[in-house]
Amino acid sequence: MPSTAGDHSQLSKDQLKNLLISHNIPLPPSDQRKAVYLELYNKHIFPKDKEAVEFSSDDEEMLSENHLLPVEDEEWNGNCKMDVRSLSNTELQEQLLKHGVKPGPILPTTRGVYEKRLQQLLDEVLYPAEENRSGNQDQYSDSEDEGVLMKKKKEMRGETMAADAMQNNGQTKVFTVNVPVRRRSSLSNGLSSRPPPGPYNHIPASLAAEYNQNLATLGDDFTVTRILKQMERRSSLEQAVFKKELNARNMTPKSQEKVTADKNTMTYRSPANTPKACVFMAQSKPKPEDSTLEDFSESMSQSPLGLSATRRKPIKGAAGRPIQFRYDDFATQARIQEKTKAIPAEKSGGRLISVPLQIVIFIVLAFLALVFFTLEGSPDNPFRSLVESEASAQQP
Amino acid sequence: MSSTSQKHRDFVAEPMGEKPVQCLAGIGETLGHRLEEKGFDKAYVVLGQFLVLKKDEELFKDWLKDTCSANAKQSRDCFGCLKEWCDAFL
Repeated sequence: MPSTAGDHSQLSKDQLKNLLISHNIPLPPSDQRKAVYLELYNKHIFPKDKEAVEFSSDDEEMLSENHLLPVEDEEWNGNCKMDVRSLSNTELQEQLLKHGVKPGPILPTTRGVYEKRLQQLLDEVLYPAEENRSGNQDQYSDSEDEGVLMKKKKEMRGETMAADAMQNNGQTKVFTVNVPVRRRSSLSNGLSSRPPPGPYNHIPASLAAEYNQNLATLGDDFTVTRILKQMERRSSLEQAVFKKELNARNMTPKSQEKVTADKNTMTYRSPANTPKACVFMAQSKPKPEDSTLEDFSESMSQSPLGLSATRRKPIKGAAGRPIQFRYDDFATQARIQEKTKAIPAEKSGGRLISVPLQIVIFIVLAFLALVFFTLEGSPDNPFRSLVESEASAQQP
Repeated sequence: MSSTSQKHRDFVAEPMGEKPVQCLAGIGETLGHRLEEKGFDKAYVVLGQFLVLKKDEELFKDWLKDTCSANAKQSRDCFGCLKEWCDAFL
Protein backbone atom coordinates (compact mmCIF):
# COMPACT_ATOMS: atom_id res chain seq x y z
CA MET A 1 0.00 0.00 0.00
CA PRO A 2 2.78 2.46 -0.27
CA SER A 3 1.82 5.46 -2.26
CA THR A 4 4.84 7.57 -2.81
CA ALA A 5 5.10 10.55 -5.02
CA GLY A 6 6.63 8.46 -7.74
CA ASP A 7 3.83 5.98 -7.47
CA HIS A 8 0.99 8.28 -8.22
CA SER A 9 2.83 10.22 -10.85
CA GLN A 10 2.54 7.07 -12.90
CA LEU A 11 -1.21 7.24 -12.75
CA SER A 12 -2.99 8.36 -15.84
CA LYS A 13 -4.69 11.70 -16.05
CA ASP A 14 -8.13 10.17 -15.82
CA GLN A 15 -7.18 8.25 -12.73
CA LEU A 16 -5.84 11.35 -11.11
CA LYS A 17 -9.00 13.20 -11.97
CA ASN A 18 -11.12 10.50 -10.46
CA LEU A 19 -9.06 10.52 -7.31
CA LEU A 20 -9.47 14.25 -7.03
CA ILE A 21 -13.19 13.99 -7.60
CA SER A 22 -13.58 11.27 -5.05
CA HIS A 23 -11.90 13.52 -2.52
CA ASN A 24 -14.26 16.39 -3.20
CA ILE A 25 -11.49 18.52 -4.58
CA PRO A 26 -12.79 20.93 -7.20
CA LEU A 27 -11.23 20.27 -10.56
CA PRO A 28 -10.18 23.00 -12.91
CA PRO A 29 -13.21 23.57 -15.12
CA SER A 30 -11.56 23.10 -18.45
CA ASP A 31 -9.36 20.21 -19.32
CA GLN A 32 -5.84 20.77 -18.05
CA ARG A 33 -2.57 19.03 -18.49
CA LYS A 34 -1.79 16.12 -16.26
CA ALA A 35 0.64 18.20 -14.28
CA VAL A 36 -2.15 20.36 -13.00
CA TYR A 37 -4.04 17.40 -11.66
CA LEU A 38 -0.88 15.94 -10.23
CA GLU A 39 -0.21 19.14 -8.41
CA LEU A 40 -3.70 19.16 -6.96
CA TYR A 41 -3.24 15.59 -5.92
CA ASN A 42 0.03 16.30 -4.17
CA LYS A 43 -1.48 19.25 -2.46
CA HIS A 44 -4.69 17.76 -1.17
CA ILE A 45 -4.64 14.03 -1.10
CA PHE A 46 -1.08 12.90 -0.83
CA PRO A 47 -0.41 14.17 2.69
CA LYS A 48 -3.48 12.40 4.00
CA ASP A 49 -2.57 9.22 2.24
CA LYS A 50 0.90 9.32 3.57
CA GLU A 51 -0.30 9.61 7.11
CA ALA A 52 -2.87 6.97 6.53
CA VAL A 53 -0.24 4.60 5.35
CA GLU A 54 2.10 5.29 8.19
CA PHE A 55 -0.43 4.29 10.77
CA SER A 56 -1.11 0.69 11.47
CA SER A 57 -4.53 -0.61 10.60
CA ASP A 58 -5.59 -0.56 14.26
CA ASP A 59 -5.25 3.17 14.32
CA GLU A 60 -7.14 3.72 11.16
CA GLU A 61 -10.38 4.43 12.85
CA MET A 62 -8.76 7.02 15.06
CA LEU A 63 -7.26 8.60 12.06
CA SER A 64 -10.47 8.76 10.16
CA GLU A 65 -12.20 10.32 13.11
CA ASN A 66 -9.56 12.86 13.89
CA HIS A 67 -7.85 13.77 10.75
CA LEU A 68 -10.37 13.26 8.02
CA LEU A 69 -13.34 14.65 9.80
CA PRO A 70 -14.14 17.40 7.32
CA VAL A 71 -14.10 15.01 4.43
CA GLU A 72 -16.08 12.48 6.32
CA ASP A 73 -18.70 14.97 7.35
CA GLU A 74 -19.58 15.66 3.81
CA GLU A 75 -19.78 12.04 2.97
CA TRP A 76 -21.58 11.10 6.09
CA ASN A 77 -24.72 12.75 4.80
CA GLY A 78 -24.97 10.37 1.92
CA ASN A 79 -23.17 7.21 2.76
CA CYS A 80 -23.98 5.65 -0.56
CA LYS A 81 -22.25 8.48 -2.34
CA MET A 82 -18.97 6.85 -1.58
CA ASP A 83 -19.79 3.96 -3.76
CA VAL A 84 -20.93 6.16 -6.60
CA ARG A 85 -17.98 8.47 -6.36
CA SER A 86 -15.45 5.72 -6.39
CA LEU A 87 -16.73 4.45 -9.70
CA SER A 88 -14.69 5.18 -12.76
CA ASN A 89 -16.23 7.12 -15.60
CA THR A 90 -16.97 4.04 -17.62
CA GLU A 91 -18.35 2.21 -14.63
CA LEU A 92 -20.57 5.12 -13.84
CA GLN A 93 -21.79 5.09 -17.39
CA GLU A 94 -22.50 1.37 -17.22
CA GLN A 95 -24.40 1.77 -13.99
CA LEU A 96 -26.51 4.53 -15.44
CA LEU A 97 -27.25 2.43 -18.49
CA LYS A 98 -28.27 -0.43 -16.22
CA HIS A 99 -30.74 1.88 -14.57
CA GLY A 100 -32.26 2.91 -17.84
CA VAL A 101 -30.54 6.29 -18.15
CA LYS A 102 -28.59 6.98 -21.26
CA PRO A 103 -25.83 9.28 -20.16
CA GLY A 104 -23.92 11.65 -22.32
CA PRO A 105 -20.17 11.96 -22.09
CA ILE A 106 -19.02 11.78 -18.51
CA LEU A 107 -16.61 14.65 -18.07
CA PRO A 108 -15.29 16.43 -15.03
CA THR A 109 -18.09 18.95 -15.36
CA THR A 110 -20.85 16.49 -16.00
CA ARG A 111 -19.73 13.78 -13.64
CA GLY A 112 -21.22 15.36 -10.57
CA VAL A 113 -24.61 15.54 -12.14
CA TYR A 114 -24.52 11.95 -13.26
CA GLU A 115 -23.33 10.80 -9.86
CA LYS A 116 -26.28 12.52 -8.33
CA ARG A 117 -28.65 10.94 -10.78
CA LEU A 118 -27.25 7.49 -10.15
CA GLN A 119 -27.47 8.11 -6.45
CA GLN A 120 -31.14 8.96 -6.77
CA LEU A 121 -31.75 5.82 -8.76
CA LEU A 122 -29.90 3.74 -6.20
CA ASP A 123 -31.86 5.27 -3.38
CA GLU A 124 -35.06 4.45 -5.14
CA VAL A 125 -33.99 0.86 -5.40
CA LEU A 126 -32.49 0.57 -1.97
CA TYR A 127 -34.88 2.37 0.29
CA PRO A 128 -37.98 0.25 -0.27
CA ALA A 129 -35.92 -2.82 0.59
CA GLU A 130 -34.09 -1.29 3.52
CA GLU A 131 -36.95 0.60 5.03
CA ASN A 132 -37.62 -1.82 7.83
CA ARG A 133 -34.12 -1.55 9.18
CA SER A 134 -33.00 1.85 7.98
CA GLY A 135 -34.08 3.55 11.19
CA ASN A 136 -31.09 2.50 13.23
CA GLN A 137 -28.57 1.97 10.53
CA ASP A 138 -26.08 4.50 11.72
CA GLN A 139 -26.42 3.34 15.28
CA TYR A 140 -25.91 -0.15 14.16
CA SER A 141 -22.70 0.56 12.36
CA ASP A 142 -21.51 2.68 15.22
CA SER A 143 -22.19 0.17 17.89
CA GLU A 144 -20.79 -2.71 15.96
CA ASP A 145 -18.16 -4.80 17.59
CA GLU A 146 -14.76 -3.56 16.67
CA GLY A 147 -13.37 -6.92 15.76
CA VAL A 148 -16.20 -7.62 13.40
CA LEU A 149 -15.82 -4.16 12.01
CA MET A 150 -12.21 -4.65 11.18
CA LYS A 151 -12.86 -7.99 9.60
CA LYS A 152 -15.58 -6.56 7.46
CA LYS A 153 -13.41 -3.69 6.53
CA LYS A 154 -10.80 -5.99 5.24
CA GLU A 155 -13.38 -7.80 3.18
CA MET A 156 -14.66 -4.53 1.89
CA ARG A 157 -11.23 -3.45 0.99
CA GLY A 158 -10.77 -6.58 -1.03
CA GLU A 159 -14.00 -5.99 -2.85
CA THR A 160 -13.40 -2.40 -3.67
CA MET A 161 -9.91 -3.10 -4.82
CA ALA A 162 -11.25 -5.72 -7.14
CA ALA A 163 -13.96 -3.45 -8.35
CA ASP A 164 -11.83 -0.39 -8.90
CA ALA A 165 -8.62 -1.57 -10.38
CA MET A 166 -7.57 1.99 -10.91
CA GLN A 167 -8.10 2.93 -7.33
CA ASN A 168 -4.97 3.69 -5.42
CA ASN A 169 -4.41 1.40 -2.45
CA GLY A 170 -4.05 4.02 0.18
CA GLN A 171 -7.11 5.54 -1.28
CA THR A 172 -9.30 2.58 -0.73
CA LYS A 173 -8.11 2.37 2.80
CA VAL A 174 -9.25 5.85 3.52
CA PHE A 175 -12.57 5.13 1.91
CA THR A 176 -13.34 1.98 3.73
CA VAL A 177 -12.55 3.55 7.01
CA ASN A 178 -15.01 6.30 6.42
CA VAL A 179 -17.85 4.17 5.24
CA PRO A 180 -20.28 2.62 7.67
CA VAL A 181 -19.91 -1.05 7.05
CA ARG A 182 -23.54 -1.93 7.13
CA ARG A 183 -24.55 0.22 4.25
CA ARG A 184 -21.50 -0.63 2.33
CA SER A 185 -22.10 -4.31 2.46
CA SER A 186 -25.70 -3.96 1.44
CA LEU A 187 -24.68 -1.76 -1.40
CA SER A 188 -22.08 -4.08 -2.74
CA ASN A 189 -24.52 -6.95 -2.46
CA GLY A 190 -27.14 -5.10 -4.32
CA LEU A 191 -25.00 -3.57 -6.97
CA SER A 192 -21.58 -4.78 -7.82
CA SER A 193 -22.54 -8.43 -7.53
CA ARG A 194 -25.94 -8.43 -9.13
CA PRO A 195 -27.12 -12.02 -9.17
CA PRO A 196 -26.97 -12.76 -5.40
CA PRO A 197 -30.26 -13.14 -3.60
CA GLY A 198 -30.57 -9.57 -2.43
CA PRO A 199 -34.17 -8.43 -2.23
CA TYR A 200 -33.38 -5.62 -4.57
CA ASN A 201 -32.67 -6.96 -8.00
CA HIS A 202 -32.67 -5.37 -11.37
CA ILE A 203 -36.40 -5.20 -11.90
CA PRO A 204 -37.22 -2.47 -9.40
CA ALA A 205 -34.43 -0.38 -10.80
CA SER A 206 -35.62 -0.55 -14.35
CA LEU A 207 -39.18 -0.11 -13.17
CA ALA A 208 -38.20 2.96 -11.27
CA ALA A 209 -36.44 4.37 -14.28
CA GLU A 210 -39.45 3.67 -16.45
CA TYR A 211 -41.68 5.19 -13.86
CA ASN A 212 -39.55 8.29 -13.87
CA GLN A 213 -39.69 8.58 -17.60
CA ASN A 214 -43.40 7.99 -17.64
CA LEU A 215 -43.86 10.55 -14.97
CA ALA A 216 -42.06 13.10 -17.05
CA THR A 217 -44.39 12.60 -19.98
CA LEU A 218 -47.47 12.00 -17.91
CA GLY A 219 -48.56 15.61 -17.74
CA ASP A 220 -48.50 15.97 -21.49
CA ASP A 221 -50.39 12.78 -22.05
CA PHE A 222 -53.01 13.77 -19.64
CA THR A 223 -53.78 17.11 -21.20
CA VAL A 224 -53.63 15.73 -24.69
CA THR A 225 -56.07 12.97 -23.93
CA ARG A 226 -58.31 15.39 -22.21
CA ILE A 227 -58.32 17.71 -25.17
CA LEU A 228 -58.99 14.80 -27.46
CA LYS A 229 -61.88 13.71 -25.31
CA GLN A 230 -63.28 17.15 -25.30
CA MET A 231 -63.03 17.37 -29.04
CA GLU A 232 -64.69 14.01 -29.39
CA ARG A 233 -67.47 14.96 -27.11
CA ARG A 234 -67.96 18.20 -28.89
CA SER A 235 -68.02 16.68 -32.33
CA SER A 236 -70.39 13.94 -31.24
CA LEU A 237 -72.63 16.53 -29.69
CA GLU A 238 -72.64 18.50 -32.86
CA GLN A 239 -73.36 15.44 -34.90
CA ALA A 240 -76.24 14.53 -32.66
CA VAL A 241 -77.66 17.97 -32.93
CA PHE A 242 -77.22 17.91 -36.63
CA LYS A 243 -79.05 14.60 -36.94
CA LYS A 244 -81.88 15.82 -34.79
CA GLU A 245 -82.13 18.80 -36.93
CA LEU A 246 -82.30 16.68 -40.04
CA ASN A 247 -85.08 14.59 -38.62
CA ALA A 248 -87.02 17.55 -37.43
CA ARG A 249 -86.77 19.60 -40.52
CA ASN A 250 -86.78 17.23 -43.48
CA MET A 251 -84.36 19.52 -45.11
CA THR A 252 -83.78 19.58 -48.79
CA PRO A 253 -80.34 18.45 -49.85
CA LYS A 254 -79.56 21.95 -50.95
CA SER A 255 -80.07 23.46 -47.55
CA GLN A 256 -78.09 20.59 -46.00
CA GLU A 257 -75.19 21.54 -48.11
CA LYS A 258 -75.57 25.08 -47.01
CA VAL A 259 -75.41 24.11 -43.38
CA THR A 260 -72.37 21.92 -43.83
CA ALA A 261 -70.72 24.70 -45.71
CA ASP A 262 -71.43 26.92 -42.77
CA LYS A 263 -69.78 24.36 -40.57
CA ASN A 264 -66.75 24.37 -42.73
CA THR A 265 -66.43 28.07 -42.27
CA MET A 266 -66.44 27.27 -38.57
CA THR A 267 -69.62 29.06 -37.67
CA TYR A 268 -70.58 26.18 -35.46
CA ARG A 269 -73.01 28.27 -33.64
CA SER A 270 -75.19 29.15 -36.58
CA PRO A 271 -78.76 29.16 -35.33
CA ALA A 272 -79.63 26.01 -37.21
CA ASN A 273 -77.43 23.99 -34.86
CA THR A 274 -79.49 24.18 -31.71
CA PRO A 275 -82.67 22.26 -31.02
CA LYS A 276 -84.42 25.46 -30.03
CA ALA A 277 -83.64 26.92 -33.38
CA CYS A 278 -85.04 23.81 -34.97
CA VAL A 279 -88.41 24.51 -33.39
CA PHE A 280 -88.39 27.88 -34.95
CA MET A 281 -87.51 26.41 -38.28
CA ALA A 282 -90.30 23.88 -38.12
CA GLN A 283 -92.85 26.50 -37.22
CA SER A 284 -92.00 29.09 -39.75
CA LYS A 285 -92.21 28.79 -43.46
CA PRO A 286 -89.06 27.40 -45.00
CA LYS A 287 -88.34 29.77 -47.83
CA PRO A 288 -87.91 33.21 -46.28
CA GLU A 289 -86.51 31.64 -43.16
CA ASP A 290 -83.77 29.89 -45.02
CA SER A 291 -82.70 33.01 -46.76
CA THR A 292 -82.57 34.99 -43.55
CA LEU A 293 -80.70 32.19 -41.85
CA GLU A 294 -78.19 32.18 -44.62
CA ASP A 295 -77.73 35.91 -44.32
CA PHE A 296 -77.36 35.58 -40.61
CA SER A 297 -74.75 32.85 -40.72
CA GLU A 298 -72.93 34.66 -43.46
CA SER A 299 -72.71 37.77 -41.38
CA MET A 300 -71.51 35.61 -38.50
CA SER A 301 -68.77 34.07 -40.54
CA GLN A 302 -67.71 37.38 -41.94
CA SER A 303 -66.98 39.04 -38.64
CA PRO A 304 -63.79 37.62 -37.17
CA LEU A 305 -64.82 38.45 -33.65
CA GLY A 306 -68.03 36.53 -33.93
CA LEU A 307 -66.14 33.64 -35.35
CA SER A 308 -63.78 33.18 -32.46
CA ALA A 309 -66.52 33.69 -29.95
CA THR A 310 -68.78 31.12 -31.47
CA ARG A 311 -65.98 28.65 -31.74
CA ARG A 312 -65.53 28.48 -28.01
CA LYS A 313 -69.12 28.15 -26.99
CA PRO A 314 -69.66 24.47 -27.77
CA ILE A 315 -66.83 23.59 -25.38
CA LYS A 316 -68.67 25.40 -22.67
CA GLY A 317 -71.69 23.25 -23.23
CA ALA A 318 -69.68 20.07 -23.45
CA ALA A 319 -67.76 20.83 -20.31
CA GLY A 320 -70.96 20.48 -18.38
CA ARG A 321 -71.48 24.06 -17.41
CA PRO A 322 -74.59 24.85 -15.36
CA ILE A 323 -77.71 24.50 -17.41
CA GLN A 324 -78.62 28.16 -17.11
CA PHE A 325 -75.70 29.07 -19.30
CA ARG A 326 -77.12 27.05 -22.09
CA TYR A 327 -80.50 28.57 -21.66
CA ASP A 328 -78.86 31.93 -21.71
CA ASP A 329 -77.51 31.06 -25.09
CA PHE A 330 -80.84 29.83 -26.19
CA ALA A 331 -82.54 32.97 -24.99
CA THR A 332 -80.21 35.19 -26.98
CA GLN A 333 -80.59 32.87 -29.89
CA ALA A 334 -84.33 33.06 -29.65
CA ARG A 335 -84.21 36.83 -29.50
CA ILE A 336 -82.09 36.94 -32.61
CA GLN A 337 -84.42 34.49 -34.26
CA GLU A 338 -87.42 36.58 -33.41
CA LYS A 339 -85.78 39.64 -34.81
CA THR A 340 -85.01 37.92 -38.04
CA LYS A 341 -88.48 36.46 -38.09
CA ALA A 342 -90.18 39.78 -37.49
CA ILE A 343 -89.80 40.93 -41.08
CA PRO A 344 -91.27 37.87 -42.77
CA ALA A 345 -94.01 37.74 -40.16
CA GLU A 346 -95.08 41.24 -41.09
CA LYS A 347 -95.02 40.41 -44.73
CA SER A 348 -97.05 37.27 -44.33
CA GLY A 349 -99.38 38.82 -41.69
CA GLY A 350 -102.03 39.72 -44.32
CA ARG A 351 -102.15 36.24 -45.56
CA LEU A 352 -102.55 34.61 -42.20
CA ILE A 353 -106.30 35.36 -42.09
CA SER A 354 -107.80 34.27 -45.34
CA VAL A 355 -109.86 36.68 -47.49
CA PRO A 356 -113.24 34.94 -47.02
CA LEU A 357 -112.73 34.94 -43.29
CA GLN A 358 -111.96 38.63 -43.45
CA ILE A 359 -115.18 39.21 -45.33
CA VAL A 360 -117.14 37.17 -42.81
CA ILE A 361 -115.65 39.10 -39.93
CA PHE A 362 -116.43 42.37 -41.70
CA ILE A 363 -120.03 41.32 -42.26
CA VAL A 364 -120.45 40.29 -38.64
CA LEU A 365 -119.03 43.56 -37.41
CA ALA A 366 -121.23 45.52 -39.80
CA PHE A 367 -124.25 43.59 -38.64
CA LEU A 368 -123.48 44.26 -35.00
CA ALA A 369 -123.02 47.95 -35.70
CA LEU A 370 -126.30 48.04 -37.57
CA VAL A 371 -128.12 46.37 -34.69
CA PHE A 372 -126.56 48.80 -32.23
CA PHE A 373 -127.52 51.83 -34.23
CA THR A 374 -131.10 50.58 -34.85
CA LEU A 375 -131.49 49.85 -31.13
CA GLU A 376 -130.16 53.27 -30.23
CA GLY A 377 -132.43 54.92 -32.71
CA SER A 378 -135.67 53.08 -31.80
CA PRO A 379 -138.00 54.56 -29.14
CA ASP A 380 -138.59 51.28 -27.38
CA ASN A 381 -135.07 50.52 -26.34
CA PRO A 382 -135.14 47.38 -24.22
CA PHE A 383 -132.23 48.73 -22.19
CA ARG A 384 -133.87 52.04 -21.40
CA SER A 385 -136.23 50.71 -18.74
CA LEU A 386 -133.29 49.06 -17.09
CA VAL A 387 -131.27 52.25 -17.07
CA GLU A 388 -134.21 54.25 -15.81
CA SER A 389 -135.08 51.84 -13.04
CA GLU A 390 -131.49 51.87 -11.93
CA ALA A 391 -131.45 55.65 -11.89
CA SER A 392 -134.72 55.78 -9.92
CA ALA A 393 -133.37 53.25 -7.48
CA GLN A 394 -130.36 55.39 -6.86
CA GLN A 395 -132.35 58.61 -6.37
CA PRO A 396 -134.29 57.85 -3.18
CA MET B 1 -43.24 28.39 -20.47
CA SER B 2 -46.21 30.59 -20.14
CA SER B 3 -44.42 33.91 -20.50
CA THR B 4 -40.84 34.81 -21.13
CA SER B 5 -38.78 37.67 -19.82
CA GLN B 6 -37.34 40.40 -21.92
CA LYS B 7 -33.90 38.97 -21.27
CA HIS B 8 -35.01 35.63 -22.59
CA ARG B 9 -36.42 37.16 -25.74
CA ASP B 10 -33.30 39.21 -26.28
CA PHE B 11 -31.08 36.21 -25.93
CA VAL B 12 -33.15 33.97 -28.14
CA ALA B 13 -33.50 36.62 -30.80
CA GLU B 14 -29.96 36.39 -32.15
CA PRO B 15 -26.84 34.24 -32.20
CA MET B 16 -25.11 34.45 -28.84
CA GLY B 17 -21.70 35.35 -30.21
CA GLU B 18 -19.41 36.39 -27.41
CA LYS B 19 -22.10 37.32 -24.95
CA PRO B 20 -21.15 36.89 -21.29
CA VAL B 21 -23.01 34.47 -19.05
CA GLN B 22 -25.01 37.26 -17.50
CA CYS B 23 -26.92 37.55 -20.75
CA LEU B 24 -28.54 34.19 -20.13
CA ALA B 25 -32.03 34.37 -18.75
CA GLY B 26 -32.08 33.48 -15.09
CA ILE B 27 -28.41 34.30 -14.63
CA GLY B 28 -27.96 37.57 -12.86
CA GLU B 29 -24.90 39.23 -11.47
CA THR B 30 -24.41 36.88 -8.55
CA LEU B 31 -24.83 33.68 -10.45
CA GLY B 32 -22.83 35.12 -13.29
CA HIS B 33 -19.90 35.75 -10.99
CA ARG B 34 -20.13 32.30 -9.52
CA LEU B 35 -20.13 30.77 -12.96
CA GLU B 36 -17.21 32.90 -14.04
CA GLU B 37 -15.27 31.74 -11.03
CA LYS B 38 -15.78 28.18 -12.20
CA GLY B 39 -14.62 29.04 -15.67
CA PHE B 40 -17.97 29.51 -17.34
CA ASP B 41 -17.35 33.07 -18.40
CA LYS B 42 -19.21 33.09 -21.69
CA ALA B 43 -22.70 32.06 -22.57
CA TYR B 44 -21.36 29.60 -25.09
CA VAL B 45 -19.45 27.75 -22.39
CA VAL B 46 -22.69 27.19 -20.57
CA LEU B 47 -24.22 26.20 -23.87
CA GLY B 48 -21.46 23.64 -24.21
CA GLN B 49 -22.33 22.19 -20.85
CA PHE B 50 -25.97 22.23 -21.81
CA LEU B 51 -25.21 20.29 -24.96
CA VAL B 52 -22.88 17.86 -23.24
CA LEU B 53 -25.74 17.06 -20.88
CA LYS B 54 -27.74 16.28 -24.00
CA LYS B 55 -30.18 19.12 -23.43
CA ASP B 56 -31.61 17.13 -20.56
CA GLU B 57 -33.67 19.46 -18.46
CA GLU B 58 -33.21 17.73 -15.15
CA LEU B 59 -29.51 17.20 -15.50
CA PHE B 60 -28.84 20.72 -16.62
CA LYS B 61 -30.87 22.21 -13.84
CA ASP B 62 -29.09 20.00 -11.34
CA TRP B 63 -25.79 21.05 -12.71
CA LEU B 64 -26.67 24.71 -12.52
CA LYS B 65 -27.86 24.28 -8.97
CA ASP B 66 -24.63 22.56 -8.05
CA THR B 67 -22.26 24.94 -9.74
CA CYS B 68 -23.76 28.29 -8.87
CA SER B 69 -26.51 27.34 -6.41
CA ALA B 70 -29.21 28.66 -8.67
CA ASN B 71 -32.77 28.29 -7.48
CA ALA B 72 -35.49 26.44 -9.31
CA LYS B 73 -36.75 29.42 -11.25
CA GLN B 74 -33.33 30.62 -12.27
CA SER B 75 -32.33 27.22 -13.54
CA ARG B 76 -35.64 26.80 -15.31
CA ASP B 77 -35.24 30.15 -17.01
CA CYS B 78 -31.70 29.40 -18.04
CA PHE B 79 -32.66 26.02 -19.39
CA GLY B 80 -35.59 27.41 -21.31
CA CYS B 81 -33.44 30.14 -22.75
CA LEU B 82 -30.74 27.79 -24.00
CA LYS B 83 -33.27 25.27 -25.24
CA GLU B 84 -35.07 27.83 -27.29
CA TRP B 85 -31.84 29.25 -28.58
CA CYS B 86 -30.82 25.78 -29.72
CA ASP B 87 -34.16 25.20 -31.36
CA ALA B 88 -33.69 28.39 -33.28
CA PHE B 89 -30.02 28.34 -34.19
CA LEU B 90 -28.67 24.84 -33.89
